[in-house]
Amino acid sequence: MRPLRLTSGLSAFVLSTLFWLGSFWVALRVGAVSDADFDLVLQLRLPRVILASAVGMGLSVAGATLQALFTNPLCEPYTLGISSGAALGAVIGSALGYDASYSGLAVPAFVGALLFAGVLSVISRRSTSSQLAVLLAGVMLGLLGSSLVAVWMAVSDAQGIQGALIWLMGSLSRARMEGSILSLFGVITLSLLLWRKWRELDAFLLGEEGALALGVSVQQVRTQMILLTSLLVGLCVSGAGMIGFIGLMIPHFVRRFSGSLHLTLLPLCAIWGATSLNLADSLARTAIAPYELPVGVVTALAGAPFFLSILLKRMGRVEG
Amino acid sequence: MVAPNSSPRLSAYGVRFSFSPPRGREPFILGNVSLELHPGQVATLLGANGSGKSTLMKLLSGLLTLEESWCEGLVRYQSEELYRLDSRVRARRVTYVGPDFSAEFPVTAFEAVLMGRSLQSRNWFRLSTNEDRDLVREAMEKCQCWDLRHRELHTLSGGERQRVAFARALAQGAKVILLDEALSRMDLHHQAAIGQLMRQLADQSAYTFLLVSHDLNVATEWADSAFVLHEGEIRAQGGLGTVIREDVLNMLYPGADLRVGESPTSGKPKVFFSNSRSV
Amino acid sequence: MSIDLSWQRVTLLASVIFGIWSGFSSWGEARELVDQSGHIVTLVERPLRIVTVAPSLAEVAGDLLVDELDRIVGVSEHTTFPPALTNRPSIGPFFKLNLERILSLKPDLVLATKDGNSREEVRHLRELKLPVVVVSTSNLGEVSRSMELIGEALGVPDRGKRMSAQFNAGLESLRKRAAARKIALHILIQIGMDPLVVAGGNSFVSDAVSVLGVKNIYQAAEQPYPRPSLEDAVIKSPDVILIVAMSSNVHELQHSEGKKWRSFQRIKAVKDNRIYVLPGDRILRPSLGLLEGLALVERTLFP
Repeated sequence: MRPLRLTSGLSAFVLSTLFWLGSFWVALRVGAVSDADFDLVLQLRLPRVILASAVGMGLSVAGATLQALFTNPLCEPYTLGISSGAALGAVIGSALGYDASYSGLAVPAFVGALLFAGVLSVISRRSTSSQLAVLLAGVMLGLLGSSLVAVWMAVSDAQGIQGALIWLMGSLSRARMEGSILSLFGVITLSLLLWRKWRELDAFLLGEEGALALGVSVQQVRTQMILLTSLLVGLCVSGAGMIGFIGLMIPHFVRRFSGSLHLTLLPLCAIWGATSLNLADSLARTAIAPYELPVGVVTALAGAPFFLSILLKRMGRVEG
Repeated sequence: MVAPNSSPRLSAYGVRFSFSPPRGREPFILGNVSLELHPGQVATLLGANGSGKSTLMKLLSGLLTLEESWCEGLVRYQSEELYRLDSRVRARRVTYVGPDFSAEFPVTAFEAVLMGRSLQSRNWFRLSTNEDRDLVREAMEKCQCWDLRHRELHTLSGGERQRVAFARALAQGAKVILLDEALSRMDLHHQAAIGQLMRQLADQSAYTFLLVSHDLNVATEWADSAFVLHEGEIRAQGGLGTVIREDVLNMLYPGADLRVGESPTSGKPKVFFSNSRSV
Repeated sequence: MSIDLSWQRVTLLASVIFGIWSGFSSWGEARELVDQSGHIVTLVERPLRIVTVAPSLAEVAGDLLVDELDRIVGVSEHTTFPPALTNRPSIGPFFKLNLERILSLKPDLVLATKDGNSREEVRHLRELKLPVVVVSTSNLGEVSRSMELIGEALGVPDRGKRMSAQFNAGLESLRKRAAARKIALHILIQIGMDPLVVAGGNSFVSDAVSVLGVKNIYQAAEQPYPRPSLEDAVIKSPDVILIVAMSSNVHELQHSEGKKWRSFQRIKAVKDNRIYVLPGDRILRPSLGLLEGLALVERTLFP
């Protein structure tokens, strides 16, 4: 197992980047309409591909980070309820009539995510909060958010809420050039900030106790990482709605081939997340044209069997 | 052996600790604990289950702190307060090795031990230097787990993982190592090897070890001194001969009816069941 | 006599010539109209590449274009009227438009509706510099106005006005018959099944059906599609329950909904067995077809 890891880092990167560029090409070319209209490609597909790369990157990096932070292979970007915060923000924004031209409900969704991120950071900072406590707090926050959305739905005009919820369903078709580039920039910045702490994330692999023994100031690092990942997830959800399974699957997939150390894991997750979302979106766009499959459906259909296989493998593991 | 008149390396004074604010008559886990550990000392911490041994070990290594308002006391590394140190610096001085060393994700033994060193570095892109890798190799060879280096932790047996855990502690460079049931799953030959390694490091390089082991005879074989933790306080401390006594043991383990004898090979005190109720 | 070429005169002459020239040149080029979403849309005089993004729009546009149907180059899924358009290239369902297909057809006019199309997608189309005319059909008055607007947009304003007049005349005759009947029927218009969703006074359905002289028991509701409790419906005890089905399984619904209501014998409509299921997509089109649809409802309610 070992020889494929640390030393082959460079070739792994080169290979992965090639795949990523390949996915770009596929996304731009597949489903070509009668004439290969350059206009079409530029106006509609390029922003879409950029957004897919940004969101795929963001979700995978966030997923990998959360899995390490909570030493739990089942963690994924939405575990801490940030997406419910975004949903709540979107719903309230839509009810207040908020509808800025380029961003749709992106801004109120991001604000909602930010608020939830803030609450989580405060909880994480308390020294009496263990890893499990923070995780549960996140799950509870998520449930709270969803419940509030449901309450709002029950008492308000169903039409507006419908619009907000459709908006939240994962879709890359809203992509505009400015928004996509902004998202990409944001995702890259946040991912770099997370990547900087790769040593600490590695330490978390040995558990909270293990990390402490190694000299990591667990509370501080955890709070910082939670804040950064929440911003990352908030950015992704405000830009493209909720797209599941990427954040869960990609880190596991990359670990199989390149090990768990975050120096290489995070960048490879970023690249593969971008690649897979591009491919999934291409499929969503062309599979039943002119209808468009929700991209979250494509990722879930690919992801669910994978998820099950992880579970079964873990349950069948023999204790040493 | 403990150097005479050496100043304590790791010490605790008046430690009072509880995980949550004590309500009413609920006592603190640790009421008033004071102890001192010196360079070259291999000590063992005795106490019944639930007496707070692990908690004390974690407080002594910085995994837990006394910062909550209901806690009191002081833990010092030489003359500095342990909790004031930057966590990285602290890790270079004292470290804790727990009973379970594992990872939920694929991590090789080598990678795990390397973490001890890589966390001390600040270079963004360098996974490890040659020096780091040499130190890791040395540590793993001393702990007889170098041949396991490419195996993933979750594929190793309990004893194998404990050897890797010890190697991690060594590689990290800390000279005070607290071992919480860290030898319990090793095969006897490995236990012997690690025990001898401890003695050697203590005698030749002035390392300090504090062991907790549910098997008293393992503890007494390698240690030269002992502390007894009972009802939240240190009730007895000193050389093995002064502490390992029948009255102390029967206080800790009432009803066990234990006898203390001597090892025919090392002369160390050994604990026996009197088994007077046998058929 | 020599022409005085002082610079003032030259300038004046040049402006006049320019004015006449630009007046002529815009004659066949661009014009502006205001659609029902309040946007000012710049269009060519006679759009030749029209895309309709909802079935009802294809119907109205088709009826207005008569024999020039090939000016419509793209339609939404499930466009069935007029039959000639069924095989046109599809640009996706009205609730999720395939923008690529629309763009690739290079339309010079896109007809969209506020009721059914996503605001976000319409906005995206505008950002792609496509001329989008949005109609609104939330009540009968707006439907009538939408016919005129579509006529204008297509470059056949007279036909649009004629259709609108025909529409209003048809409604008027229905109203007259209703007045002559002098029957006050209280009805509940059911849209959704579980939970109960009804059409309030603010909805298009209610507005249309009220032409027949019936009284919607939820006329006063603020929301267009409120969700009252079953108890409330029982208390109000409508004479007729009209179930508007959005898909074609009319018979199944008749059976299943009939069963659900049967336990509420206190409701007059249930006692008198006056629960009717009507295919909403056929009846309630915001086009001339509405007149036929309402006539069908009239026959059902007043045999």
